Amino acid sequence: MLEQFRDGDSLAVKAVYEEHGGAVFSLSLSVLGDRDLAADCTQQTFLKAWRAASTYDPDRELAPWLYSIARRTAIDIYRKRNREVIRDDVDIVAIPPGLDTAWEIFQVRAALDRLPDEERSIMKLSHLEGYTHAEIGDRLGIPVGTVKSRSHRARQRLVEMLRHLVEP
Amino acid sequence: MSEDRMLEDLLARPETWAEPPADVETRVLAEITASQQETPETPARRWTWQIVAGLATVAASIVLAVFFGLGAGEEPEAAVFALSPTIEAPDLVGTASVGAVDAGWWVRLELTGLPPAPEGSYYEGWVSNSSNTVSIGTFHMKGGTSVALWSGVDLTEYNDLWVTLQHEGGGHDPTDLVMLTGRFEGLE
Repeated sequence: MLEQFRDGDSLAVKAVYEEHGGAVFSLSLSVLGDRDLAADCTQQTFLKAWRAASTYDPDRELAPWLYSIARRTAIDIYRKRNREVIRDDVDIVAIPPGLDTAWEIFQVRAALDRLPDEERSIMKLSHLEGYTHAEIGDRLGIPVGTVKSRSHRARQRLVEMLRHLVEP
Repeated sequence: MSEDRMLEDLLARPETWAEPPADVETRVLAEITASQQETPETPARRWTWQIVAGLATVAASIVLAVFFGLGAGEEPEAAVFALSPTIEAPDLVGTASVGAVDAGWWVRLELTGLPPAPEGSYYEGWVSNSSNTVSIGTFHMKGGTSVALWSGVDLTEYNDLWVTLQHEGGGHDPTDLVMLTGRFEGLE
């Protein structure tokens, strides 16, 4: 698939979007703080990736390459928007405030998207919505013990997938 | 930052879980299609034919429902066929009602889940057989769920009906962004 992507095959681009679109959008939203801008950033990122596909080395991981395009695109959109909002004649070399955690957001989202659905939904209810294990069990109609075991398993998977982020 | 604290912090952020708008993927593919049409020598152009060739296979697997005589009060000659989603738009469902009048064949699509066509794009209906592909009209789906199209060719001689996403200025041929397909048989 990566070789097809390098050749500019649109079906491969579609497959790449389905695998990495969520992570690119999360990164974009964390940097830009606006859903519409993040959607534009996501769109531009994949178009740029498609146009630059011939420069991609399929022996290397795709995610970091895609991340670098998305990061650059988000910075460009951020600066362009700041120039429009503030003053055209102000020379701004602004760094978006969310840029320092962009790589971590990208990686965590990518890892979440690789979890099985039943584990991902529990992680979301627990960490984003703030539900207890018992409340999640009630909402999903499963025993609290199952919630705990899935949550534990999901966390282990995430830690394993993200180990490189925290190890020196 | 410790491993646990980093995870807790990132997992609690709404942006970590945010889903991109459903039309972003469509916009990306529409732009790519438009670019390919502007530069036909692009290597990826070849997949157009892969999709078209694959359409026959997809159509063959469509769950087909044909109910003659439905909607008898409004359209006494209507035949209703199921439309199936494709990989471009897997959540769409729809039906096509087809009937003949003196001026030609009318085709009414009832579609659920088809988003408005992105800016600079539009949808187009097509009918085809082993020899020909004919447009039956365009629409943008910026409201409602029902679309009226007309065919100037005799639909008893055509088998497949499909809807594509087209790009303005992108030419007169169907793109390979096929959103829905259906197959009608038994028309008289």
